[in-house]
Amino acid sequence: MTLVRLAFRLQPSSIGFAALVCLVLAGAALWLASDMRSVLEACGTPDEPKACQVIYAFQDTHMQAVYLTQTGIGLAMYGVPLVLGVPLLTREIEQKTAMIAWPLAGSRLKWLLWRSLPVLVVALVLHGVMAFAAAQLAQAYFPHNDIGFNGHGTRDFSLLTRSMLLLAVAVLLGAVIGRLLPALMIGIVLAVGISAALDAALTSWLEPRELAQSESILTGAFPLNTGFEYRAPDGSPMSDEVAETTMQALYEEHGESVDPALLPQEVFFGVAASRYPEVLVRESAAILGATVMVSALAGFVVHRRRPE
Amino acid sequence: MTGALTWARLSYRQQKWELLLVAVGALAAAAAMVWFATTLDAMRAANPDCLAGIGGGFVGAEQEPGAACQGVTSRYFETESLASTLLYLSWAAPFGMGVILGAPLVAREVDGGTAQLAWSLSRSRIGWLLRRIAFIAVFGLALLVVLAVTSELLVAAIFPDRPLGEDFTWYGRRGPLVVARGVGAIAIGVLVGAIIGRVLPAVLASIIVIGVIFAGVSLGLDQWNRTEATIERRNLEAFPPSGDELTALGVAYGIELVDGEFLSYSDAFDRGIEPNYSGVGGKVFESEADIEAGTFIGYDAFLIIPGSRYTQLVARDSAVVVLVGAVALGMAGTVVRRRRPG
Amino acid sequence: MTMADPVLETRELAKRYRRGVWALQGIDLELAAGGITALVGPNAAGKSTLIKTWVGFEKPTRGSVRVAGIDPWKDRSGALAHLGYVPQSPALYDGLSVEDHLDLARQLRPGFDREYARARLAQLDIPAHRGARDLSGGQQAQVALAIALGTRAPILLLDEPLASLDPLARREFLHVLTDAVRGDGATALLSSHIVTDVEQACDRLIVLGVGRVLLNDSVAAAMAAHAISSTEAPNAVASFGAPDGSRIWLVRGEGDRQATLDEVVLGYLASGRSTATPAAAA
Repeated sequence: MTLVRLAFRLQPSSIGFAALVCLVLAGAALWLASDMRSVLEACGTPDEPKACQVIYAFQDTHMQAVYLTQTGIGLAMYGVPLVLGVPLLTREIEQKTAMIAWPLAGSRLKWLLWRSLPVLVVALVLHGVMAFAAAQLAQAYFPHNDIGFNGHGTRDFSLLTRSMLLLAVAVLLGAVIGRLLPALMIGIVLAVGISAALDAALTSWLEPRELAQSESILTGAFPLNTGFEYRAPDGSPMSDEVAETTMQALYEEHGESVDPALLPQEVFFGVAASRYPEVLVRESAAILGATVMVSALAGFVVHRRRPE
Repeated sequence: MTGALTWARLSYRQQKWELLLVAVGALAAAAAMVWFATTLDAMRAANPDCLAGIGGGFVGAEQEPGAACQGVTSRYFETESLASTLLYLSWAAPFGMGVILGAPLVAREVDGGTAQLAWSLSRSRIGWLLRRIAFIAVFGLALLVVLAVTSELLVAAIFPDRPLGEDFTWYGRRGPLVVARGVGAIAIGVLVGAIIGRVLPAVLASIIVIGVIFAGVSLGLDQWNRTEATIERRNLEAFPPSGDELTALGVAYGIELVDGEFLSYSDAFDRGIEPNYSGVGGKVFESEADIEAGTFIGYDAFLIIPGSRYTQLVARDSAVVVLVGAVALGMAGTVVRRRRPG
Repeated sequence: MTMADPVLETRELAKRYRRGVWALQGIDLELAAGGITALVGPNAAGKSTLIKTWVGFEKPTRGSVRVAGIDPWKDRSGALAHLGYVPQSPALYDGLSVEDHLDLARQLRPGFDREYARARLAQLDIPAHRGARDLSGGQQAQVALAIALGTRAPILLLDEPLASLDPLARREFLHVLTDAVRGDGATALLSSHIVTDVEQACDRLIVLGVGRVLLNDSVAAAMAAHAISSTEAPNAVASFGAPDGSRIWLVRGEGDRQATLDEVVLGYLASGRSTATPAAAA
């Protein structure tokens, strides 16, 4: 408890801000999920209430609130780790308290562990709550479907692993730069880069294959689409240009009444929704590995750098 | 002049990192906007038949592109979609200026103890504050002007055939409003920093305070817009949309009842009216039986402010935000004058 | 005794902080122009608070303060025009060099004498282009003093500027201060809790303890008027422990031997902790 109390006293504004943001967003997501679920579960059944007509007319419900909440969660999962992690070291260095703390601790690595552990616990709890709520919200939209890869990276365990990676990066940044605002700003840029890199990495190391009709989104599944190509009527692949030229020629010859069987077909590639658990485990392991490496690097920097 | 340059140099040295990073970010965003604008123009010039009149989706296109143009239009809209995301940056940039440049201005002096030196040397704390803000404001607003101009260029490239001076498309994410919002955000950030007096709490608090104040101003302006908006009937089945449908500021969507009253859909349900079938030839019906009988509740309608009033609204909204900033700045001056230096 | 118009005054000054702590109580002071006055007292005696009320950093809870006849809360600008201030543990701008600090001072204070300040720093071999974060504690204190001197203000307020300095740095600091004050005819008030440092440099002594003025006299007169006795006497101010563990008394007038300035201060601080009546100002 002393550790927790001290951790909070050392970073009251960061922890307070993180708690406020994560809990408000999680609360909003859970409320929306609960409200939507009760409405949507009643629709699509033979005895659906009249109110469902309105929902069909608008294509959606709580649209703007859900969008804002999901956007907020997407931002908070990267922003909150920065707010928690960067000041860990920058404040000690800027305010020169590292000159007191590091000699007292004897081992700087022990000191870093002591300082980061409560922050890590706080981050895990807050992001865990947010991850759960985001998952509930994503599922509430499609109560009868397997949501598969829908919202991957911004819900459940995938949100948690990414946030922890960002936390480690934030601590490393703080250790390297030693100044709060520059480290925060560089952290924002890195967060955008890491988010994009993780999405790109996912699509590059998975083994996408041609998706069957039953695996496509049209049947209510949510695969991870990695690309598409045109196929000639005989099944052979076609480049985009050849496909467009072929379509242009066919339409010029036959007009809008061209036989669809003669047209190049679009074929989608990706990863089926049924593979989501396997992909989640593999990706999480990789991200956790990266988190450990970044944390070790942060420890190395703290071990070697000057305290001011 | 020498004094101003010296002061600018000193101010830059005190906040070098933040200024450099903000400048790099803003100029990179502006450069990206210009690149996308020229790319979209070049694509249109290379494919005049397929892309004539296109912009912002199919809206405004004379006719749906034929199948032969699908590949070209698909690539065009992909590029345009990416380009549009940059306009979120011009929306967020003023907010970011307030948090990164405004909040630490006074907070860092108090937190770091240098306020004792500065405030004992400067005979007027208000004078000191104005001088500190002046450089940051000029720097930040100059970057916002660049973003405001490049965002206009980008929107002009997306909608080449529309006079943007009479068009509410991407309202608030281009032009003078970007700069005006920067004035407000920086001033609010300075106030928050002056009150709190510590850098990190001030930065975090300013994220929330600026967000809440801007949201409040936005809601207030929405209400104001409602009082000035006019009802316009729309036939939702008509394609392509044209005229005011493209350029107007949509304030609300609902039903114009047969007696001329405008109701939003939620207000209609509250009154026991059930507008379950809308967009049927521009009319709204309660049931399929009513559709067959031709008994309608009202017309699909929007509350709009026409595009011709764009300049007027930009001036109005800019004045409101700048006024909010002026009030915040005045309050910041009072706080600085009265607070302890550390 | 008739005094010239005092340059620093307080009338019934009291300052209370939020947690109910009275930092100052009923302070009446008048400082005449010229010379260096030492403001001595233990930690938390109220020395910084007193100085900050003159600078306009702390608002009196009761009573008033004046700087050259001006109330700094009614006319801060007017009061500050007469003041040069060296804060406790001077915080300089990390991102600025020494020269930049002089530029900053010139921008903020009309009439700031940059050449004078520069000359003071050159005498101490403090490089003008070195960054503030690369200066030692002593050098930072000298930069802060140079800035205060560069204002050419007639009144200098120095809040524990010697606290973090080594003996050599303290001596150099006092030397520069004495030179400047005597040369310019300024008035300086220097607070410290190390009495021996100020003995050589200061003309007057104010002892502050538990938020009250316990002694206000010239250094020479204070030492001449007090003695040390090994036994309690009717004219005793207070008793305290001697370095050898025995108990000694500070007395007014004759005693076993003349009191050192340190012993005078200790005696009055001890009296402040008891209910003994503080001495009236000379």
